[in-house]
Amino acid sequence: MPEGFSVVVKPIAKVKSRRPRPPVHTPSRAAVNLLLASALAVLGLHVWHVPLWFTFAAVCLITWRYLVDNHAWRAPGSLLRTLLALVLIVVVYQRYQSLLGRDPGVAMLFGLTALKTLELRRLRDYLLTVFLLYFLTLAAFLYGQSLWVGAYALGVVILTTLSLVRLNQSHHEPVSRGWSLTAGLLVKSVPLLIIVYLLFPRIQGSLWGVPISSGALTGLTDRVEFGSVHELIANDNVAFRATFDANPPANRMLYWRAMVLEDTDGRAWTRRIDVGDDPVPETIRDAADPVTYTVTMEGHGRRWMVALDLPTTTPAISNERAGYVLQARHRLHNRTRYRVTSHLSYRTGALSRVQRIWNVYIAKAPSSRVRNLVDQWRARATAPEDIARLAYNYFREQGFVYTLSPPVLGDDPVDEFLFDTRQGYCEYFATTFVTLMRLAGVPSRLVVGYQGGELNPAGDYVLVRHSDAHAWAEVWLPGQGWRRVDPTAAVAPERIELGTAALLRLAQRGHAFGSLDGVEALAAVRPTWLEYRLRNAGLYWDFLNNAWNQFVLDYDVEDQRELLRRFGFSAPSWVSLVMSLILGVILVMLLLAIYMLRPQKHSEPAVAWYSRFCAKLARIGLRRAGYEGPRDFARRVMASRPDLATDVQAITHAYIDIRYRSHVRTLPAFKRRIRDFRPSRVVRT
Amino acid sequence: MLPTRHGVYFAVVLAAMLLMALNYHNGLAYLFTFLLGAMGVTSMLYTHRNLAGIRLTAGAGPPVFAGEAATFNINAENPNTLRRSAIWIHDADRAHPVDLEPSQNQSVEVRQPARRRGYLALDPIAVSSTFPIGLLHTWSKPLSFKAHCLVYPQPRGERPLRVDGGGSTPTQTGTREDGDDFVGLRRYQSSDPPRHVHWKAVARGQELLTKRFGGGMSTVWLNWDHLPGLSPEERLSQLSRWVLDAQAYGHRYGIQIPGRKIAPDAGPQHQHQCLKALALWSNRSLK
Repeated sequence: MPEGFSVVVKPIAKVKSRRPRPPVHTPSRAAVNLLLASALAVLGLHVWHVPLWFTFAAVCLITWRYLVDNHAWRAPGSLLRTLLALVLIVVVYQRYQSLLGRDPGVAMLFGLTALKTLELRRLRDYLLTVFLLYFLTLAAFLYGQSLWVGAYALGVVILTTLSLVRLNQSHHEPVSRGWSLTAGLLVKSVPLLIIVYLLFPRIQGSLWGVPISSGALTGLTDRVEFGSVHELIANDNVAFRATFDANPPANRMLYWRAMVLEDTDGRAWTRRIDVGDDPVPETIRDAADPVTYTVTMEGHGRRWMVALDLPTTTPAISNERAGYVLQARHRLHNRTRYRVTSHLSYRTGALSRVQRIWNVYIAKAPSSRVRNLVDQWRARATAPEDIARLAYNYFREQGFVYTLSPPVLGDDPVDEFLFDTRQGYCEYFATTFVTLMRLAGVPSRLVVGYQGGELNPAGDYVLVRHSDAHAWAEVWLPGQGWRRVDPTAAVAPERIELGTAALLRLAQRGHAFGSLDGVEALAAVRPTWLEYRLRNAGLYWDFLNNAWNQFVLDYDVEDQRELLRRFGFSAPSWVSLVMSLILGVILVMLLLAIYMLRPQKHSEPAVAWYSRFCAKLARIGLRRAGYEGPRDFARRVMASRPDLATDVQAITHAYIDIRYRSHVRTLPAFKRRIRDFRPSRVVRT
Repeated sequence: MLPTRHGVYFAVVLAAMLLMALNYHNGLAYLFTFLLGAMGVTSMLYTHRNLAGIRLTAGAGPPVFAGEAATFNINAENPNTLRRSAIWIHDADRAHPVDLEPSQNQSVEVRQPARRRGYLALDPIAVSSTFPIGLLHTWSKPLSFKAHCLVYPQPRGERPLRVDGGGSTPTQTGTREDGDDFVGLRRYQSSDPPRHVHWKAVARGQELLTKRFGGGMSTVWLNWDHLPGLSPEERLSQLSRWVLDAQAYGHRYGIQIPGRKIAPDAGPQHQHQCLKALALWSNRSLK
């Protein structure tokens, strides 16, 4: 039995000892109201996932519950509640023809949560509702995981956890204490969260079938005709982001190649179908200026992948296809990351017979004006390179205008464009150029992809939007192989040097493309202060989104391996992952326990110091009993050890003064006296 | 520390959430599930810290009679600056909630049935808490205290306290028949006014008694030896009843039991003395 009559409580870890039954606690009304508020907040996440009248009914039910509690309305009987539950099941089944799966599941949970609020009576009902709300919050992530959803969910989880804390609190505790407890609980969970999130083994594949969301197809198509890229120019969404290992190349070098179009019907350009998807890699003879980068491509529902001219490695997820392009093994519905190396200077190998045939093919006989033009060039030059240069200069010198809203072209678009309208944008110039080259007998083809991009200084990556979509030409020259020719650069060098954003700005300010020389153009596109701020804010927002994508949405097995490699595992495996997880959790919990269970400051320093004094006396055999007041104890000590009388009396007096007469100023002297108090075991005479 | 039933439900929900995250490769779902899991685990430390270090002091309440419930006062003191909430102090049949501000203390009254006379030791007290979110339940080992409540013998027995002398009744000396103060009972005689019949005793099934009134104090000896044919415990119970009756009627009374004799006196202090002697009587005194 402990000394005196006091016992200090020590919680035990031993499970077998007699366990008192957890008492039954009835939550306060304020806590229940908070729970109803969090229920509304969680249902708010799903407003667009269930029929509108569902939301309306749920709000009505929750309001009813509120009125029962706060305005003495009648609570619904069990018969009505059962009836409502049955109606819910029938309605959900009728609408979705099933009760399983994401949509009917969410609708059921949604309805059940609203119904459950009507039958909250015991603590168990309340806590189950809280867990239901947590689950429903998670279900919202199956519909989307944007930063907004994450932020809203964070708010919801704070509110729901606050209700959980309040439901367990005594009635008289103020709400402020609930807030601080909730905040403390959540903040202290973060270190453990990070460790587990990073190291919990992710799996590849699914446990059960997940229906592939048939997301809209966005971005480039494998069919280009006059006017088709136009829709993309207006599309401001992110196509992909690229992080370079070293400094990113200049804007004019950023030709992101996606597809090579070699077949044409005279108006539209498509891929060659005869080779299908068989990998027919073309050869590369010399390559220089390597750059290595990681592309994070947004899901677009097709199989094309982008790489700078020309990719020299093939990521694991792709096949290599003829035309130096990468093609994914599967349709890319989700955001995909891959790493690839390109060589910016290159010479390619010989042209096969099949390729030559394809790349001089023309679907329709040209008009006489076009025929004459090509014949003129052929008369002036024989080398394909020179013919290409003549054609390029033709675009530069004959008053062609780069515009995003060109006139509509009729039956013979090449003829009309070349001699009548002379207004267009990249695909007009590129397709016409390819046609002209083929007419002149120079093997040539159309390449589509993206050009340029915006360097995001916040995250040091290049951000490419769908509006950066571009088309250019490639000609095959003896001795050099495939060469890129971008006739758009001849007409509007700003497009290639500065990118689409600058181009749009230029158009807004009423300048024709190509009408200004370099310095003037630069001055003309300089953004205003507001534009600059907006652009910066936009870039930071994109940086946040990108980080969110990388660390939350797309964090997978590969990232985990990479993380372990960084921590010195040469060949990270599943086992090393689990081991580090266990170690990490133990370490974090240990540190947290040390921090949270550290000795608490004694609320009154005098008491702490006085117990130190008592401990010193206890060491020489004078133990203070629980019932003894300081004065009684001092009397007893002085009786048995008169030699200590001076110290004991002074300390006891000071203690009583400080504690009961609030003589706080004597505290330092009191402390010093106790620190210097060294009672000997034997009486000194 | 063990999870409560709610804690188990919570774990089941978390497992379901983890399955969803795994199956749908949903990064946000992973994040959310692990946040809730980490919160559950972190709450362990809160639960432990909430209970650890509280200082409990127990004191016995006033004496009671056997058959009643003894009360003990448990004082819980928070020795430091940590706020303690939702602590439960358990006695035999209920739990008392305690919330403690820094360095504050709070008392609860714990009841415990007193079955036998003598000193009743406080049964070990359990302290528990499910703070902060009700998922985990922690408790202390049963805590023993040196707290004892005095239990008087249960006042029982049908023999009346009689002051009119004779056989097995307490002896009395010096009474006056006239006056307003109730002084005792005697066997009913046909001339007694019905107003003075002790009807309550009749209702208890005892013989017909008449209340006697007198002016001064009678002195009564409550004597063990006047209760032949009863076991010691029955005698103590009967004596206990007599002490209460004698006190109620305003007698001066003394007790005489084997090994102990208390001189006649009156007043609450004296009553306590007598009842305490009865409570602590041990049959070793018989030999």
